[in-house]
Amino acid sequence: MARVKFLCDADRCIECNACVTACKNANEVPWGINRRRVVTINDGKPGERSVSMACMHCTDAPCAAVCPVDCFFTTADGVVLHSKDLCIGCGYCFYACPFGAPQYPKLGNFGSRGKMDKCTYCSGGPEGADGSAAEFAKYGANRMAEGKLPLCAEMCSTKSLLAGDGEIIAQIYRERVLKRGYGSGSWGWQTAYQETVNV
Amino acid sequence: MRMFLTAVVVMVALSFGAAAVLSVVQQPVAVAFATKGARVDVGE
Amino acid sequence: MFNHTILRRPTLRRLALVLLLGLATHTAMAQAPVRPSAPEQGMNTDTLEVKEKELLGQMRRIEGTISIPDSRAAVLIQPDGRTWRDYRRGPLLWITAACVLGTLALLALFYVIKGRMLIAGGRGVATLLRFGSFERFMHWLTAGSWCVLALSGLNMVAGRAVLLPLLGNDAFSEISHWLKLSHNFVGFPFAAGVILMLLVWVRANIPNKVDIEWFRQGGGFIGNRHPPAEKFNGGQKVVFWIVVLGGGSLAITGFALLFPFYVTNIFGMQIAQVVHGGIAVLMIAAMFGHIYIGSVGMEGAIDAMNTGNVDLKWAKDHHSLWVAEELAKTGKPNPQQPAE
Repeated sequence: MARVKFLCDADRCIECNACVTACKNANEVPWGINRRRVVTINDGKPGERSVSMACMHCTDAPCAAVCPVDCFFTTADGVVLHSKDLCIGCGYCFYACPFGAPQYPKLGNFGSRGKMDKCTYCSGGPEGADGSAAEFAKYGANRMAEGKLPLCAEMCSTKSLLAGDGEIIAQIYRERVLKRGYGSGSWGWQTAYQETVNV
Repeated sequence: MRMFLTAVVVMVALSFGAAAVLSVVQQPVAVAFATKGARVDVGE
Repeated sequence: MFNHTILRRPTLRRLALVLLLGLATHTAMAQAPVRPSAPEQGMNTDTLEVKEKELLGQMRRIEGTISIPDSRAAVLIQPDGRTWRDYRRGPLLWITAACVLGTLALLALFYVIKGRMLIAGGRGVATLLRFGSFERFMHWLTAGSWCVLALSGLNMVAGRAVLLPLLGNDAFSEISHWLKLSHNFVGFPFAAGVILMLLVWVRANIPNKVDIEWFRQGGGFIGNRHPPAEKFNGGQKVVFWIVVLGGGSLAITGFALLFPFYVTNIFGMQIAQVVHGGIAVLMIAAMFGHIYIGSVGMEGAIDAMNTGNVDLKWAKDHHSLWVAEELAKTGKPNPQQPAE
């Protein structure tokens, strides 16, 4: 099976935040939690770039490594999912994550922060019951089970955010960079996958 | 022994007290990050 | 807005800052690698763009601006988590195992060699009040909280390796959930106990010449000699300062972790966890020693924290200077242990 990844081509991202909105709508994420966000580097300066970032579904994911109750699972596609039944809301994944993906429904203290929430690559939860109402309420959409990619990437207006087989999206990005002659890099790849897209 | 039991009781009381105070102070993210004037549905 | 502020207050310092910033930007731009340029279409973005690789090489984390209300989400990438992860998965586990199992093994060995240290000639009838009820209360407040915190903390560190395979995911998660809650909230009585002990006992725990002599004579552990000591002997003073300084830093780092972003950012929280975990396991080792000598290790020691009244013979052996002082004050020891 393919190893799915996200790749944000920052030279195409126009910071429209459609991916953020799409994610919130597709997954009905609680208010205040942003599974996906767009960060602008050097805002208003020469060389400004915007990057859409969510959980990168890392290879050998740090969250899974540090979790004290081992509640993370990696699917056959390489998607990192976590069980909200097992999560104790301790915040360890939140210390370890390089991308700020883990978030909690309550602010202030970890004593009762609630279960962690993060991007599921539109793959629902790890418990099975694909596409059920219970799964949707707990984890959000399961588009992957329907053969669809995450909605954020699917509706990106400039096709900046790419989702799918890591090798294929890397190839698309490589071709883009070769054609236009520049590219600011596959943001987060080195940190998430210990490899980068070489052009 | 009596002081040990007293201490245990006070320990439990202080813990629950702290938990109660913090649960009042704590905000759901929906409230914390809401835009001013927004209607907020706090239910999870 | 930034420029506006500068214009309004054109102090030398600000001007220097602007110059420096300007220079820095200039250098950074000059250092941008030159690659075959894009087809000429107006501005060449190639030489201006920010590159992830360069940013990660330059700084600890990549941060930008964000339009959602959660301003903390503006941190894009912070790879420091890898170092923390390595510590949590490696050294912390080994230090914990060494501290817990190693100390238990050493104490067992010490017990086998030395045995229970008895009161020479057996217990007497006369007793002396060593710790008043408030002293015993604050001791047990700290001690009780410490036990809950140590057990739940050990579970956070090593539960996944030790308990999870035995209990299975569901049961272990449920237990860990309650242990985590107790760890967070029992931290408050623990901090209260440490503060009380600091206030009440600090005067009696300032190291002096008597302690040096006490340590020089091996603290009474070697042979059957009992070096003179005040209310707290050298070893007890060490325990006191371990509890106050160790417990204090555990409380500070613990509260920093309990209230994320009030005190520090994620990098700071990683550091806090490293310090918290490291000091905690060292303290567990020290407290094992304290518990041993206060219970099975020495006859008569537990009385001090149980009823507060200790055997006069025991007191004369271990705290000769304190006994002399007390007897001078009250005149006579209690003829017998009074009902509490």
